[in-house]
Amino acid sequence: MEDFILSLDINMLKDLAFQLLNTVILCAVMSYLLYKPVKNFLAARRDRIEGQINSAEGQLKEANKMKALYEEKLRAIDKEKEMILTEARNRGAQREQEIIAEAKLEAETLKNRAMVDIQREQEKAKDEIKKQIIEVSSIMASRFVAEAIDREKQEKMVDEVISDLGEVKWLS
Amino acid sequence: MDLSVELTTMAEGVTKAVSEASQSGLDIKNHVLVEDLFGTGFRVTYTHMNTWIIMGCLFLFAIIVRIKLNKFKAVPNTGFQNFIEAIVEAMDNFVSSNMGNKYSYFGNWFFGVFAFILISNLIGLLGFRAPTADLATTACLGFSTFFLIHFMGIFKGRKEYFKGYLDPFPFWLPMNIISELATPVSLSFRLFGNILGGSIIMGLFYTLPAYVKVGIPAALHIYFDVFAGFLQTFIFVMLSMSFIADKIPDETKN
Repeated sequence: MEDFILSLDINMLKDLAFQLLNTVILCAVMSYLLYKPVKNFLAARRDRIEGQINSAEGQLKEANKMKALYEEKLRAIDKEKEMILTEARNRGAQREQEIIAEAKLEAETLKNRAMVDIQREQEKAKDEIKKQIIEVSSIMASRFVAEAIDREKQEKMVDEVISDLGEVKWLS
Repeated sequence: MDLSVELTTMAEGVTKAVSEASQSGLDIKNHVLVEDLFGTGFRVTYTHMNTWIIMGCLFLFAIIVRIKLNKFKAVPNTGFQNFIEAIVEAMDNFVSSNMGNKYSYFGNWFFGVFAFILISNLIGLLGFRAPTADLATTACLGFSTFFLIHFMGIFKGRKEYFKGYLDPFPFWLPMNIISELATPVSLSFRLFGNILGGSIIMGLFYTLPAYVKVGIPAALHIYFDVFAGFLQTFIFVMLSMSFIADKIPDETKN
């Protein structure tokens, strides 16, 4: 068995071929068992993360779109609200005017009726007073007359009055 | 003088010097364990045995990773998962930045090569003879890079590939051919020389008297095994990637 450090002969070429085979097997096995699976694992993870980022971006875009849509809707709602309020206010004002007018009318009617009543009462009172005055005056007169005239005269006068009244009645 | 004869003479000289020096020190020579493996004519040396040990360790590690991969969480919660993710991602980025995203599948090859060279360089720390301190190993790695360079060149950019040999002038062709042939040689001898050099120096140092062998070898191991080991691994893989990427047209890289 010889020992050597560097031998440039046919054995060295054989060693070379042997080592080439070893190296190829080593690289193939390392590639098959270690490098390729780990690289695929890393690539799959990168793809997954990339997919997640992309989908997150898509969702963000979608959300922004929705947000814009809802903001637009909110603005439209504001406008609509303003419109409804204005309309309600106008209607309210109109109704107010109507109510005032109605109230005025009613007050006028009531006033008129009251005036009529008052007048009627006044006239009634006047009549009453007149009657009272007549009564009193007739009492007074009868007293005076009782003092002043005798029975005959009185009868005569009554007859005269009755006859006068009778004439008036017949006339009217 | 013939180049191979010269190199052989050189190698014999180094072997002689080292065998003389390492009589009492660390054995850094490559031993033949089996002369003729199952009658195939192939011999088994320390290089092969240590390569198998490394392969076994790496296979075991890969199997553990493969089993644990099913339990990996989307959010890493163990140091082990972090470590695995870090090395695979680092290699993937390394390949992608050097060769383009489309050729990141070279990571499959270079991940194994990187792990093998790195563990080979570091195994010296445990007293094993580094397989990369054998020219057969480094030449096989250099040859595979050479093969990939020209395979990719011919299949991905045929026109540019053949035109490249006539740049900058047509009569520069011999120069270009020599430079192409020099690539695997320089790659394999750089790695081989650095690791063998480190182990020879370590072996010679261990022949010194006992009182200098306290503490100092640790620093030498850090430099020659850990630092040089990492650096040479990185250089080898980096240069291989650059050479291959050079032959691929830029427009196909992404």
